[in-house]
Amino acid sequence: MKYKDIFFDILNNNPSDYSEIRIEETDSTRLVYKGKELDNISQNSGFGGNVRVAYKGGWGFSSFNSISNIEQNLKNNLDEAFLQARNIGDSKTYIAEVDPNVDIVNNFSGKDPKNISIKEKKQLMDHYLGIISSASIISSADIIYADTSRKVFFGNSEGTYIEQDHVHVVSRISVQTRLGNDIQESGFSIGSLGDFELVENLDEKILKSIEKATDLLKSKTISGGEKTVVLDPILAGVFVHEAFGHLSEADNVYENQELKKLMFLGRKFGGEHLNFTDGALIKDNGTLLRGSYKYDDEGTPATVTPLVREGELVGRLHSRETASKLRERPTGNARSIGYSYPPIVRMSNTIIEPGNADLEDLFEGVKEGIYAKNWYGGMTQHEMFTFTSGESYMIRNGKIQEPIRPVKLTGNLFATLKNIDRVGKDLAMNQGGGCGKGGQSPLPVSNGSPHIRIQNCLIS
Amino acid sequence: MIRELFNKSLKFFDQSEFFVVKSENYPVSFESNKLKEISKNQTSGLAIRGIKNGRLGLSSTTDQKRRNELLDRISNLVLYGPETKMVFPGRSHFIDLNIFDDSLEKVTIDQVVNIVQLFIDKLTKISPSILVDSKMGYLKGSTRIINSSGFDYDYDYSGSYFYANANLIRGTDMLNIWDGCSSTGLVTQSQLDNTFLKIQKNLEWSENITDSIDSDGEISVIFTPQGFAGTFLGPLLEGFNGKNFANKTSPISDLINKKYLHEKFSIRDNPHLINSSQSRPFDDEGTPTRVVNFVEEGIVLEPYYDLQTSTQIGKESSGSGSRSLSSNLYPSITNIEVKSGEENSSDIISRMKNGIIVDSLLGAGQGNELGGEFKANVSLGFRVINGDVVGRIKDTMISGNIYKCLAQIESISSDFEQVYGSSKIPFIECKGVKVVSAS
Repeated sequence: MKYKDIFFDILNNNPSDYSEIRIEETDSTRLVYKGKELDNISQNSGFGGNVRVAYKGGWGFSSFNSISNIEQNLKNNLDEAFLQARNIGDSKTYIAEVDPNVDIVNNFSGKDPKNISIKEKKQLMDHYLGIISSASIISSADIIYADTSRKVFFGNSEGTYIEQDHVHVVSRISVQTRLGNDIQESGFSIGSLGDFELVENLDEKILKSIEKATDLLKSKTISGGEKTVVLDPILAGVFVHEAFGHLSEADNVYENQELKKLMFLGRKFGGEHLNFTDGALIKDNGTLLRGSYKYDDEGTPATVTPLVREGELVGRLHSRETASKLRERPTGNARSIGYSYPPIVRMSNTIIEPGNADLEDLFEGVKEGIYAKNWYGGMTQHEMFTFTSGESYMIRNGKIQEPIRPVKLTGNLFATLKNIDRVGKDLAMNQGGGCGKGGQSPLPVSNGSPHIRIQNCLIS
Repeated sequence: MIRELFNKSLKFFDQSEFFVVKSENYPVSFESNKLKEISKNQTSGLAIRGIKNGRLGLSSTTDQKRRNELLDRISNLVLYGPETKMVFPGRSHFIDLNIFDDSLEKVTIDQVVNIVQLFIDKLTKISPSILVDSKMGYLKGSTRIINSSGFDYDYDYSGSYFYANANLIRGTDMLNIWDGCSSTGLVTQSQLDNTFLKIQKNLEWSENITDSIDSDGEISVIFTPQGFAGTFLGPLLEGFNGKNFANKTSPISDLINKKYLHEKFSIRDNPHLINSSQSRPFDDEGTPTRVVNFVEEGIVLEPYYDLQTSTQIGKESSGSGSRSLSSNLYPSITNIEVKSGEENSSDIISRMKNGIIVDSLLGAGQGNELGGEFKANVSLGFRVINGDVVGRIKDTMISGNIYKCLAQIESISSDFEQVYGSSKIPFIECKGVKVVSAS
């Protein structure tokens, strides 16, 4: 336990209500291809830390990475953060109780990318580029491969000391086709908590993307308006993240009386088939997901948090401060993307729980609608959200028909959730995403869902 | 120390470059009208690029103890790195830019806290139930570049920034208004006043919520400076990115010197803009910066390049190389300036018979940006009927193609605003935008 004694020495007997130290060591490798060539290859390492202090309701935060004498440096930063907090504090510090933990954790599994040489990583990506280049229709391609290991040392004034190792492997591959000024794109993003195997054997997926990008050039744009849409598990996962997940982050609510009135526990958001859950302890067939960890960046043990049960709001995501202010239990959702940032309330793995509709039931009775699959991205601003499909098809008389250009779906939390009328059985996870909030991006998260159907969804 | 390591690197590589950065940032955050957190962030780091046998490798660290590992790491990376013919720039002459304001040294945290508190007090006076999240801070730093062509220069910079996000909830309606400003010194009272006036105007315009708009119709749209930046700048800057020119993926790469857009439209990047903390004498690989004219009077002129992309197609870098410590170089912009027109924005609005004003978007940038397409939810926009702003529009999406819209400009305002801290952009009215609303 590398810093345990140093942390406790410094954190003990300081005049704050609460204080913590986080030190991080990172190592990453990145390969980027643009056009049809390797663009850059890099390896980066990082080291740095921060001290965060609460005093009478005020918070001070000091981050640094030049460390000559670590003990003296941490002491100075603690003093500085305390003065900052004291400058603000005029009432009471709210921080929910969490039992102290001392632990060493590995938050990853599978084929460790650290044991694979740069040469092998490049050979694999070159192989994928070869598949893409041999398709003459493809005008350009983007390939990104990155792995990162992040070792976090955390200690607080309550006796918690945790060392956590995270390893992330991500890859994004997209291909473009072009006809005159018309440029179309198809691709995919994948990610895993430390398993390099995930990026092996992508040949078929790439061939599919080439096919889709080719079809897109021929496909038509449809006119916008309100339509019945069926979302595949990937896109429905993005939907629950954007449309609901962000508003369930308690830091939106805890100081906002009006929003609290809207987001009260017990509020009905939709039918009994609606069940949403978030949690860093959620697993997929026993494997860790990209948003998984054992402790969050405040040292709170991860949980599984039911957010909606049978259409009713039953829970939300918390840091220790928001939990205390709202008199709810901390959920272990305070996360930070790196030592320069304090932890804030974030999602981890967010899912729509499986329902009882068979896949055919979702298309049944749809006279004219859209089957939207895969994703480009999504965004939320309070109750408004928008997200974009990667591929889409017309549905006519309950049958999936010709491909159309990707659509953008938009909605309003309070209206759209009510319009979800069917939830399938086929839960699947999307692990390629990163989430951004408060200038902290990309944070590893995952989301998932079965197929779902939404009536009267505004598309463009 | 650095010099010693640099000299050592010359033995490892045919060419080498050191990028050394240091910065300190002091932000204060307000949450729901109350002072919440005072912070200090200090970072420093070193990134090295090495070229050997025509191949490039990059490695960086923020860990001072691990600086010595970099040369070995890059020695391995250059075996597999991309091929390059670029030559790092040598000694040169740079414009004398004043981007370090030493008066910031005397600014105290209390002063900053006061400025934000006063701003929030003023807002709550005009709208008592408004909740404001705000951040203000000041920073200083230095950038030094040393390379094997004999370049060894550095510059200091400073800056401050302010932004406010005002949130107002009425029933299930949530209104969100965002604005901010920045400067090389402390943001001035007149900058803060302008920011306040913009928020105040948006609040007034948002008093009523209007009915939905008929779908399918293409109606006239006025983009506010912020609306223009949010809708057009992303795709446009992708189109003018030298990388997409070099790869021939930009839809405008064959249109140089052709008149493609409306003659009222001129846009450029100005790295020498006074008082902007984005301005700089040389770019992040030592090329002197210069004004880059993308479009002049509708004619497509030039893209922006860094060294690697310009070398690929036998051009010169435009001094637009940008990087973070750990990222590779990429072409980027500093201060965007769109040429203003002749009419005041309020006159443009009062001339409008039936249309909308778009101020900010949600979800722009997802989708086929490179092709110039945009599609987004209007997160803040207003309906105009017979010259009057009648209220806010909700659950509305706009879509179109930026190049088609910029060829159909109706008017550009004489007044402009500072967007994203430093870009100078007027109000722009154009056709070609599709508007769809939920019923």
